[in-house]
Amino acid sequence: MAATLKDYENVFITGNLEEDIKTFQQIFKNDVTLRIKRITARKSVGFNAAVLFIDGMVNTEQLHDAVISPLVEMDVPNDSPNITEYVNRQLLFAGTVKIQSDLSQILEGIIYGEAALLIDGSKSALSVDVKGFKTRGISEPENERILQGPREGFEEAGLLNLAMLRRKLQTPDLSIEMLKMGSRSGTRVFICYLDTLINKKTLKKLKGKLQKIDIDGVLDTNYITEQISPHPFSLFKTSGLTERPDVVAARLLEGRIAIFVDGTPMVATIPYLFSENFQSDEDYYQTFWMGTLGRIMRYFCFGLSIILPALFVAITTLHPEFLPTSFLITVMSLRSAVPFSIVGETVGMILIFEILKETGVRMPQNIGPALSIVGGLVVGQAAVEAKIISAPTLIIVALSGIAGLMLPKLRAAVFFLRLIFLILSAFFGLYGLFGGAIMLLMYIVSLNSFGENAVLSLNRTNFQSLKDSLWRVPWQYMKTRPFFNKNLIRRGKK
Amino acid sequence: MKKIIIMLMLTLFLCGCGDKPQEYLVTAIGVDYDKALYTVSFEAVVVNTEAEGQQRVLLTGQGRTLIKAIDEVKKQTTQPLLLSHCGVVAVGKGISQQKLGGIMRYCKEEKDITLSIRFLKTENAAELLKTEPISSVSVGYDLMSLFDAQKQQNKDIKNRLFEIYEQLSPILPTIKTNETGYYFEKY
Repeated sequence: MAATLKDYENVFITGNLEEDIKTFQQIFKNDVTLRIKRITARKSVGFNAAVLFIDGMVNTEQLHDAVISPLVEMDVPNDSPNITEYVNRQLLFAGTVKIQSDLSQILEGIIYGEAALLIDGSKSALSVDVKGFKTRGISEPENERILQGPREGFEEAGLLNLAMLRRKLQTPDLSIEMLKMGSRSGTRVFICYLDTLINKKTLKKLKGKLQKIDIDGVLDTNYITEQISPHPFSLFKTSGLTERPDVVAARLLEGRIAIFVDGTPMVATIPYLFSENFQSDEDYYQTFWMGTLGRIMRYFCFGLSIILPALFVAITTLHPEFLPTSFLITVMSLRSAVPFSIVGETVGMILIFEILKETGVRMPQNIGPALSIVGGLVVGQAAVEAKIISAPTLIIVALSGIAGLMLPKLRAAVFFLRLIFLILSAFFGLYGLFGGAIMLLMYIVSLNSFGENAVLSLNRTNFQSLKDSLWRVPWQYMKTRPFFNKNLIRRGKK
Repeated sequence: MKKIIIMLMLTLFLCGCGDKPQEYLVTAIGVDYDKALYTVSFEAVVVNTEAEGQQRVLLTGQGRTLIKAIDEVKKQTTQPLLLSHCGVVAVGKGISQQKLGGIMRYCKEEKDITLSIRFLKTENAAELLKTEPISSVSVGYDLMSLFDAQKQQNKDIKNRLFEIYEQLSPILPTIKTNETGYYFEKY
């Protein structure tokens, strides 16, 4: 039994309308959405045809006006040598029409929302582009909201997303390549880049990795990014993900490559530098003072979020001499009635905070805030009063959690690093904490994304390399692109 | 493997695991020497819940050597003695310069005692620590406040461990008590 389009390669339609219709009916025997519209021309005796399409995938109005209506009313000259060519050139009002005879290609078109026109006596069919499936519409991405700047976000239709990008980059330099991935899903994947800016080696490496992917379905960009990552088990991402066309356009202008996957609004960009985790598109839409402040705050919050609970555990259990006596007495008195160890209490609180956060995200929008209030305030307060947890631990975990919310791109890394640092601190105190911090630093420095060092912009000491990493300088001083491009000069002398 | 990981995780939540439920926060140490015996006194604060407040205890032990006397003190309680916030070491008049050197060496080698601990001289260290505290929960805190007050008046007394450790014959401030509190006899 045929399962994929490849199974129909080099199988051709016969030219016998009834026989060909039966073939398609056989292929779609378990699919009730296939529609077959038989057409007999009023004025041309003996002209029989059939239009095959998937219900819901085509614009029926356009199908009627561009294909069915002209065919019914047509008058085919008897001396026409190639009826298919004549119908294509003279009758159909559709923009894109392909003449195909290979069954796999015709099937592919039908599945993608095209209508296949089979004409009795013709050994080739016409695939007419009358796609009309409904899409969600352009809206602001929920997880990349900004106060200032463009509000549009990608949606699920890949071609529409490419059009949105094209609107931002109106240059013939913008190259878009397509490949199909997923042996069963046949998902269209688009690779976009600005040809004169990218490093060709990176593009070659990416294509090589994409070709090696063997998977039956690609439903989201993450299906691909996880498989092309040089560090598949890393807590840190090696490719960026965004739903915003402005971000993708900015990344392409820096010489990066974007990967669009049809069916998802998430677009991946490579290479991905570690400093991008701390960047927000809003940094560039506000004054550089605000952009820099936001940048510095994010770096600070990253450290605070992963180290604070570990520092608290290390100091209160193994290094109490670091605390002022009065503060130590306060912590000790508040903790004296709590039945759990400080490590267990902190780990438990971190897990509960994650549960609350995750529940808040999954909840319907009108329940989310209520849940946050009940979970965060009421339960937290009650737990402190019932001496199940202590107030200092609650404050530390809440501070760490809130700081972590500033870094949505490092969500997983922040959670797991927080726990790893906590356990190191519980066993080895401040030595464990600092040892862990050094190892983390070494690991981050060793990260690479498609052959480029992930801390490329941080390990150089000249001003231009740091202009958009630790801080964001005014636009007039952003003279060069990141160092992985072949064309570094962004403004000024070429 | 999974079971082991789950068990390890659960141990974190066990009551008392890796934690000190009720610690004796030592605030002052007194050392006397008389008739070939060291008398060591630890003044400690036991921290209870907020409602119960803090409780002051005095633990005393004797021994032929300083270490033996300290061990005697430690034997008196099963709770850990937290030395990290001990601010004062009071030595009695029977402590010679040589013995003071031994006490300072002990304080330096004891990892929890900080180098900023202050040394002072008094008639009888145990008696000094037995007196009722005046302005706080312990005599140790009162004495620390006394030194802090001197510092605020720009009369900082150089009697911290790191300030006197290298000195051959350190001069320590002498503290006396009367009805109104503590005072420096001479310095």
